[in-house]
Amino acid sequence: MRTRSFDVAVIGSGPAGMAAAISASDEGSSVVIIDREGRSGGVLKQCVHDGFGLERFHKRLSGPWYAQIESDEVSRRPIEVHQDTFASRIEKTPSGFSIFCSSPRGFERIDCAALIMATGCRERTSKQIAIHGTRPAGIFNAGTAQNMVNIHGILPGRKAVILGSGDIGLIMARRLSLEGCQVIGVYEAKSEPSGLARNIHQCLDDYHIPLYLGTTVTRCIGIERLEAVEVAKTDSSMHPIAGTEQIVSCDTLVISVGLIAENELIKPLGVKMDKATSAPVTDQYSMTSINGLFCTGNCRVVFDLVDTVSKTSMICGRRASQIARKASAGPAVQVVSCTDLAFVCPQVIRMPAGKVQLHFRPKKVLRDYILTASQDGKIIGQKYYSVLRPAQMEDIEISADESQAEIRLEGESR
Amino acid sequence: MICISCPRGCELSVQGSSDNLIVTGNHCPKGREFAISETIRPQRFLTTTVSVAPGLGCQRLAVISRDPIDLDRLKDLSLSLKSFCIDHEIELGQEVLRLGDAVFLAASSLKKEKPDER
Repeated sequence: MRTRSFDVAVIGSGPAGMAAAISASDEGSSVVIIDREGRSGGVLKQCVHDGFGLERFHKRLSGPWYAQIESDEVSRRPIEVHQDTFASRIEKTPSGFSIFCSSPRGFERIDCAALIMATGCRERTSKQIAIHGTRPAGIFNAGTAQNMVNIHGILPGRKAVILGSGDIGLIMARRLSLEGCQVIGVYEAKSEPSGLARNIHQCLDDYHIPLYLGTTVTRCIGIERLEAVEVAKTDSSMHPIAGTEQIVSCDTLVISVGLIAENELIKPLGVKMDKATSAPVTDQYSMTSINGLFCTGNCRVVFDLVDTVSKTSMICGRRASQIARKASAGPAVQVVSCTDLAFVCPQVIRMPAGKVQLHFRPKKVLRDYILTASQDGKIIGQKYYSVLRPAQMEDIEISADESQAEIRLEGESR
Repeated sequence: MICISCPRGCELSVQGSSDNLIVTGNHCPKGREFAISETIRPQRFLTTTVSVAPGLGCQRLAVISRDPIDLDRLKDLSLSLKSFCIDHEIELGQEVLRLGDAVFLAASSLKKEKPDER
């Protein structure tokens, strides 16, 4: 088997992988990117809507534009990019990691001292949510529908119902409308929309698409092709209420019910997982519990903004380059979240840390909220939020000294 | 109304007549600008894709309007763009087509495929 060796290997050439590769290369490491697709950019290639790069470039770029800026940066550096290459297995070796790949050149092994996983996330499917009835053609995940429309130029149907008010679902509601498909409505089982308020405004209100909160799809109807769906009101625990069912005629059901971090390749290595993020526990440099193994971007935690993905991945790439050259990881202290928060990331902090951003989402809407981080009873970070929403990731900056005590987060509404 | 200028999504309210609008709820000057334009003449950037001739590495080219476009024109413009096909190499940000006064820029580059690339 053809074998190559690099200081740092990156799996995935989306925004996270490219940013990590760029900073690892700038730090002096030899870098390879392994990407299963024919063109770099990851999911950004199909996110043709604008609004990317507001924080980083102060412009409303579209996804492909942001991706192109980044892939042009990659091509200016001595970074090897292996497109159409699929990593199928990873082994831990005494000096780092071996990645087994299939590529247009055949099977290959790539050895590296530090490995950065930047594999993003995948969507929950209709199999993972309880919808009764048949499984005719016409049922798509939002990302699949987006890929069909924006990459291949195929309209998935003429009359669509969208289940789930996550941002991808909202964006697809607008996209399908612009392509001439009738969007009957967006149905959300929860009583609050899952997506950002601005997307409700610019994706639904602009196109007069109704949003039905507290309503879900309970049945698919149709033999060859979807002919209708049954929708029903839901109670506070999101269960359908008997007797509220209605039939909605449509030929397409687009499902946007959440994302799952994609970490199947590294689970066999025994990496420590966080139940709250369903992803590996990472430190402030995106390093997992295994020395030299990093996990950055949406496979670490599902971010709202690509700008944050790029920023955190650059920190990751720099660190991976240092760890590849045998830098010490430093002692880890735990970050202990509080009950109001759905998760906090990073979950551990390597000392000495200096200033570090912690990312989190609240479990529910919180108003007039103060979050305090402390270590040994000493306040190391505090921030006031007029409103916190689950749809919006927030952060708090902490300044961690060399104390080895755990970092505690505590919050209260004023 | 919700401001779409950034992910923060401020809840804006607008009062007064069209020559003297008072905006509240915004956390930055962009919010004020947005509220005023949204009240007088709502506009958006139009993003869509156009088809690409074989041999240029992909089937669709993402495009974005150079300037914001009146909200009520977006759908018609988007459907009109369906008949366009790009058959030559394109640089990122290059003007690719015009439809009346609406100018569209390429949101990625197109390069001729090299047959010996593999």
